[in-house]
This record gives sequence, structure tokens and C-alpha cells, in this order.
Amino acid sequence: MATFLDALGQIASLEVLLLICVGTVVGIIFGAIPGLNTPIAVALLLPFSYKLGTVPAMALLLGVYMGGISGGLVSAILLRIPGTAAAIATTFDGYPMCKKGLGAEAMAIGTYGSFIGGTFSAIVLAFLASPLTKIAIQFGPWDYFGLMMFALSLVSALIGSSVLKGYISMFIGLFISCIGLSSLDGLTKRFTLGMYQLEGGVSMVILIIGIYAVPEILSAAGKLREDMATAQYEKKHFYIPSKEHRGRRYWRVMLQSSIIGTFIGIMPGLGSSTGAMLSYTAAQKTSKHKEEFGTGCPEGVYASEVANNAVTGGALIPMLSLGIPGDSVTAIIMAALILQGISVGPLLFTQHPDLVYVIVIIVFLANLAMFIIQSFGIPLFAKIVQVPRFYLLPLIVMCCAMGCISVNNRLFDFYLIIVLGILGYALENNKYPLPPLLLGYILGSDTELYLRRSLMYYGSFGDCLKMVSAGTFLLIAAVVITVAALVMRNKKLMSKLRGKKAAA
Amino acid sequence: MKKLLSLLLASAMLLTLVACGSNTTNNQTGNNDTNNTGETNGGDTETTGWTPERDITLVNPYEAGGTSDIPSRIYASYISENMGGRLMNVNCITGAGGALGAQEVMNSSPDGYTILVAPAGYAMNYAKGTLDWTYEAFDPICLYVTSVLGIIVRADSEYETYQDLVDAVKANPGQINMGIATSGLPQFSVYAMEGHEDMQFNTVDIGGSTVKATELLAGRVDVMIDSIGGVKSYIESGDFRLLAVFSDERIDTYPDVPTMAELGYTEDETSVMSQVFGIWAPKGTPAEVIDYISDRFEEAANAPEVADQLSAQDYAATYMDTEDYLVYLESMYTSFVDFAENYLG
Amino acid sequence: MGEIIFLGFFILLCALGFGESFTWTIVENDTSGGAAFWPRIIMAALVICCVLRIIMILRDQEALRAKFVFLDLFYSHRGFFLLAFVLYAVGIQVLGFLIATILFLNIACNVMRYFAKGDLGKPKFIAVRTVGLCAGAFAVYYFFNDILRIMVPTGIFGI
Repeated sequence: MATFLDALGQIASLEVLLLICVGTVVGIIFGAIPGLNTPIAVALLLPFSYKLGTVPAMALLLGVYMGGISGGLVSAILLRIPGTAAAIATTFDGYPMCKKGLGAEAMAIGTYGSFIGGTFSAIVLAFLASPLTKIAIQFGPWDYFGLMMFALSLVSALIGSSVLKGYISMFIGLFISCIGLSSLDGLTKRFTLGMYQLEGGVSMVILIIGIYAVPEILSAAGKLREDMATAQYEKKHFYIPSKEHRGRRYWRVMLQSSIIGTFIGIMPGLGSSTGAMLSYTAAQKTSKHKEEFGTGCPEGVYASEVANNAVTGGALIPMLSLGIPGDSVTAIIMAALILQGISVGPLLFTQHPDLVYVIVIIVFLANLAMFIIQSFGIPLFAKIVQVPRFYLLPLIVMCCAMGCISVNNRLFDFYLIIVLGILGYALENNKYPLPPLLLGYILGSDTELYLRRSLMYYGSFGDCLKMVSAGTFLLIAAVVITVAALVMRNKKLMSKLRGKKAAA
Repeated sequence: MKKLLSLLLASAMLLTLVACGSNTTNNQTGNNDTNNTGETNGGDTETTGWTPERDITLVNPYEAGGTSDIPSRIYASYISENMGGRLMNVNCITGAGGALGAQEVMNSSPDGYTILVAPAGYAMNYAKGTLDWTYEAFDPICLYVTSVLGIIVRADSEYETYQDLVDAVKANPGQINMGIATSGLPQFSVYAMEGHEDMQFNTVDIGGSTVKATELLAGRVDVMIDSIGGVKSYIESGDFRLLAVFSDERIDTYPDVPTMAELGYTEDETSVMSQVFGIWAPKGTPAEVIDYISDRFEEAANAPEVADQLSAQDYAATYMDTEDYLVYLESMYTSFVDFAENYLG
Repeated sequence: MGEIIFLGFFILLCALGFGESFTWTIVENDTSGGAAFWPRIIMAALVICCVLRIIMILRDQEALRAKFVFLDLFYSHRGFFLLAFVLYAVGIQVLGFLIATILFLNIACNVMRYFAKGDLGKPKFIAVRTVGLCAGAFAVYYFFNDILRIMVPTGIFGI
């Protein structure tokens, strides 16, 4: 208890609280603008953090982290351009809601969900860090591979009408993730067509902007006469979801997504985009209102946003207790801690127990700050939708241009997004759903990495399967789910055909 | 709509004014710096004394928080204070065992604003045939830090000494899992060990240094080779045990742990075991730029606070200037290539 | 029909990729299946799915006649915007980010406004719009160049 009070004492200074707010605001801004993302923000602020003490530095960087993950939902919902990879799944239901005129409501749901997810994982961080770490390290490459295959099998949740089209989309995404130097050894240049710029593969930001945002921009260019639906909202200054959308009906999806997000966060090597996707697909599968997903259903927005913020708290657990960062932002935070002379790892809890409490409290406060600041910001953000398309589209193109140029500091990527945009346009307008493509791309390279590592450990695929472990179980589950989904669709098709025949 | 536009307009114009203002200030600061450097370094450098007008990006080709990242950041933050307002930023470009970051820098313009952290692993990959370029594709600037690798096992395993491990591996050929980053330097160390003792590990890739610890903790690998700084907290907490270190002399912090030379390894073999980091610039970088950067690193290497921070993480600040470093690189590459011929056939 | 061509394009891509995968070097002691293992699985699966889909289309008369939405990307407003997009990219390379952005924003916004509303608005609005867009371009340039210190591409004029 003494250390807890001690930690509170370290936080209770104006400097720290101010830094949390500043960090959160910076994070939200960077998260909201497509092309800018949290690692850039953190890298930007890192030199400042050297001059601050440990606690203020943590306040700033964690604020950016929390704000950044959440800020992505703004552009995801309003423009269908996820500001961060974590917000990809938010576009699936958030953007349809915005088209219906419920943009502000969707953002409020996203913010509220982010707050719930972040707080849940902060509580887990506070109380369950040690036991969960022990469980997390038991997961080896084979288990990760099983989990990835399981996540891929849930793609059937994202497929609209045609199963084959959905699978084709997913395999295209997987194919794209193979472009570049091979994952394990970096030996082979795969599908680079002799262009050295492709050796790094197609990076996430480029793919999102190219395949997902550009087709939408191009489509919108053809619909200039229609204005985007005006966001219906009361002239409130502080926006939280309506009572109906906070109701009991959504508690289950909130809890489920929090758990999934925290779990994915704890596993080193899996990030918030994986967490959000897995949570979304799982929510769709377990929901009583399956058909509503994808048409603008608050459950979908909750599933994605709760999970991607829950990943943040979860990712801090292996960072603190094992010295293993969960994603690129936690890696930089960890480096900042090491440079302050604090070695993270098993000794952290015994050598610096107050630091752990400090971080937990900062995470809580940062979540709260994010919630308050973003809720105030929603009415402002919603005004973006009211800007006429002929201004908005070129401005968006400018931001995307700068964003994708800044990823690798070269112009090649800008040409790449045009090519991807044409591909995405062709896919989307012919009812080839894009979400499976994104799922395949996000999970592709990791799946291959874990597969190859497993083969190195155990020798052959058969040997891997013989192991009694989570990986085998998940792989079997993946196969079962895929087969079941296909069979059920066929059944529907059969009964429809039979019905038609009977009617005719 | 009108309101929005005018708001946009007003704020943008304001920003534009500020931008123009700060541009002028920057130019002035830049000029002052050149003058100052010219005067103070008049004795050291016979060149005109280049100073950076923008921030310098130090490209780290491995993960953030890893063995090449921490010392780079320590140096970068010290150097940033002595660059007259410009910063040195560490940018991690990971992938392909370090090849991607190197490609980036190779293709950058040779103006001194993009430089590379070059580990000894590049020499190994060249000798293996994975990379087709050597240090000659760059303009090496200096050596700046050494990281000590070690053989690490779990504290509760039955391997109390190096010899226990060797006996176990000989008794179970191909069964003992040795975890390393297969595209990194430890690969040749494993070959050296296997060749020297005539034994066979089952080599498993366990990725970047930040994930290796879990694999050993969970027991999926039996032994691993990693930089000591990376697993320091585990050794201190008693989870891990250090069996041997890859350095010329015993380490102060672990005086009981033998070096590989003491365990009987020849110089040919130990020459491929030391993990050194240098700074490389794109080919064609002007000499004065190289000198400037080299001097900054020399200052930092000699600074007590840098040395303290580094040794706290079990790194050693070792500085070698451009000429010495080129000689060192040549001999390093030769030893790796020879090793590859002798041991890999 | 268009869709069959589209799928055929992917099958061709996979075939080429498969062929390329045989040229990749194999390291002797690589126990992890090699670099070609996973991509080959993906490409095979993609080809199978495409072929199945083609069969499904050929079976279904309706689908065979359905129009493949693609070419309308290159006509009318969308085509203009796509062209502007491409020219913007070229412009950044040649003229530098700042000039290209100013040109792009002004031209695209005005032309698209013309498409949308049929006119360009009163001269006062045109002036306001132009100044505002230029200022916006400057703002973004300043933000990226000086605050974030990410170098924006510069062109023949040096800015």
C-alpha cells in the first residue's frame, strides 16, 4: 500500500498531469490524420523525454500511446480512411453509420468503447500482470501459428454474399504480404520485379491508403453532386453515446472484446490491428444480430474500438515484466526506460515497484484524458463531414500523399498507392469484399514467420501436429470453422434453390 | 462554410508567417554554427568544417529496444547536445536480418544526413552469401561500440558449466535446441562451436533480441547466444545463467565466467564472435562530413556519462577513427570469409 | 465476361509467381521449409479459388452478362480525378511538394466545384478559395518540413 501511495505522490504534480493531456492530444491528432501514426509521434517526442524525469517522460509517451490508438477512429468513421492500422476494423461499421448520418454517434461509441477497453486492460495490468506473463511465455511459435490460422479462418465473418469472392480477396491480401524479402532469413527477394523499393514489402500504411482509401476517394469523385449526409447531432459540446447505445445489449460485446484485446496485447508480437480484427470477426460470429454487421451496427464499432485499446494495456504487460515490447510504440517506450537507467524485465517489480504503479495510474489517467478530450472534440470532428466534397477530396489526397511519402521518404510509394487504388476499385465495385484482403495482409507475414519457426523447432509439419498444445487445437478449430461455414452457406444455397424450385 | 474557410485561411496564414519567421532564424543559426565550428576546430580539421543544417538520421537496421538500438540511442542523445541545435535521431528500419536498413542508407544521398549502424553481422552475411555487398559499398566512418555476447542457459537447467553443455550436446546430437537470430552474428559462432567440439545443435531461429528471452524462459530452447546487455535483468534475477562470454577478457560484472579463448577456441574462431558496431555512410560522402561525424562519436565515446550508461548495460565504448576502422573492416571481412571457407566448405 | 478476364489476370500472376519461386536460392541447412513454401501454398489456393469462380460464372447466365465495373474509373469525373492524382505524383517529383500541391489543390478543387455546382462562384469566392488552399498547402509543408523534420520531396526549383 505504501508504494501505491508513493506512486500517487509522484503523479500528483501539475507537470505530470499536463504532460498526460499534451501527450494524449498529440496522440489523438496523429492518430486521426491518415498517414501519420503513433510511432512518428513518439519518435518526435522522444528527444524531449530525455530531458524530463522518468515519471514525466512516461506520462508524455503513454499519453501519446493511448491517444494515438484511439484517435484513428475519427478518420476511419468519417472518411473510411483508418488513421491507424488499429482502426481498420472500425471502418467496417463506423463508416456505414456515418453514411446514415450517425457519424457523431459512431465516434462517441468508438470513444466510449476505447475508454472501456483501455480501462479494462489497465486493471488487468495492475492486478494480473505476473500470472498472465507466466501463461504468455508458454505460447511458442506453433501456438502463435495456430492462433493466426484460427484468426484467418474467421474470415468467413467478413464475407458478404459470395464465399469464393471473399476467399479470393483474402488470398490476394496474403499474396501481397509475401512481396518483399522473405521473412525469416531475408535471403530471397520475392515478387519484387527487380524494384529495390519493393524489397521492404508493401507497408501497412501504404496498403491501407492504397487499397482502402483511394477507391473510396475515387468513387466519391464520381458522386460530387451528392453531399455527404449531414451528421445528425444535437448541438452538444461534449458527446457521449446515447442511452440506447450504452445499454445492456452491448455489454457482452464490450466484455468479450476487452478480453480478446487484452489477451492479444499480452502475446508479444501481436499488435492492435490483429486484436481489433480478431475481436470484430469473433463478435460477428457470436452475435445474435449477425446480418447487421457491416451495415452500420454499433456492436461492430464497439468490437473494434474496445479491442484495440485493450491491446495497449495488455502490451505493457510483457514490456514491463519480460522486457519484450508488444509493438513498435512500446518498444520505443521501453528504450526510453532503459535509457533512464531502468532495466525492464523480471527485476522491475522487485527493484522499482513504485514505477509499475506509476505506469498503471498514468494509463488510467491517459484513458480518462483521451475519453474527455475526444468527447469534446467530436462535434468539431463531425463538422469535417460538412465540408463539400470538392474541397475535401483534394485535401485528403494531399494528406495521404504526404503520409505515404513520409513512410519511407520516397515518392515510389505514392505511385504504388495509385496502382493499389485501381486494384481496390476494381475489387470493391464488383463485390469482392475488401475486409478479407486486409485481414489476409495483416496476418500474412506473421503467420509465415511462425510456421517456419515451428518447422525449425520440430522438423516437419507432421511432427508439429503431433504436439498436444494450443497450436494444434487452434489449427483443428480453424479447419472446423472453415468447413462449417462453407457447409452452412451451401445449405442456405440449397434450401434457397429448393425453395425457388418449389415456388416455380 | 464561409466560416470554416475563413478559419482555415486565418490559421494557415498565421502558420505561414511563423514558418517564414522560423526559416530565417534557422538560417541564421546555421551560419553562426559554421563560423563557430570553423574557429574551434581550426586546429583539428584542415577542411572547411562542415556542420549539419538538418537533423541527422541514424538508421538502426534492427528492432527498437534491441542490442543495436540502445547504444545508438545513448550516443545519439549525447551527440544531439553537441551538434549546435541539430539532433541525431535514431530511426529503426527493420527487416531481412538488417538488410533493409542497409539498403535504405545505401540508396540515400551521400550528404551525411542518413547514416547506418553497421553490425559485424553484415560481414557474416556477406561470407555466407546472403548479402552481395561489403563495406566497400559504403563509406565507413568509425567504430563506436562493442557488445558482448554470451552463451546463456536457464539457471535451473543441468548445465552448470560450458563443459556440461558440450557433453549434453555430444550425447544428443541434433536434439539440443540452440536459439539464435539466424541471420545475425551468432550463426557463425554456432558453426564455430559445432566445428570445434564436433557436435551438432538443432539451431532454431528466435528472431530479434527482444523476443529471445521468452523462448529460453519457457524452455523451448535449451541454450541461446545473445548479447549480455539484452538479458542482464534475467541474469541478475537468477532466471538465467551465463556459461561463457565472447570477448577477449573476462567481464568485470561476471568475473567467474570464462571467455571462449580460455575454453580453447582459436583466434580464427573467436574472430567471428565479437559483436562490434560501426557507423557507415552512403558511398560518396564528402571527407569533411565523415570527419565531422567521426569527431562527434569520438567525443561521445570519451564522455564519462556515455561510458557509464553503456557499461551499465554491458556495452563497451570503443572508438576507432576512419582509417583504423577501414583497416579493421578489411581484416574482419577476411576472417569471416576464411572462416566460411574452412568451416562451411 | 469482364470478371473472367480479371480473374484470368490473377491466375496469370500466380503462374508467373510460381515460376519465379523456382529461381529462388535454397540454403542447404535451412530446416524451415524454405522461402518458397508459404507463397506457393497461397498462390495455389488463389488459383483454385479463381478457377472455381470462373466455373461458377460460366454456369450462371446472369453473371456472364453482368458488367464488370472497372472502365468507368477512367471516364468523366472519376477519370479526371485519377488523372489529377497521377499528375500530382509526377508534379511532386518534378516540381517539388509545395508547388505541386498548390497547383493540384487549386486546379482540382475548382474543376470539381465546376462539376458539382456548374459554376465557379463569385470572383470574391474564387479569390478566397485560392488563397485559402495555398495557405493550407503552406501549412502542411511547414508542418512536415519543420515540425516533423521529415524531408518533403523537392523539385527542380529547390523547394
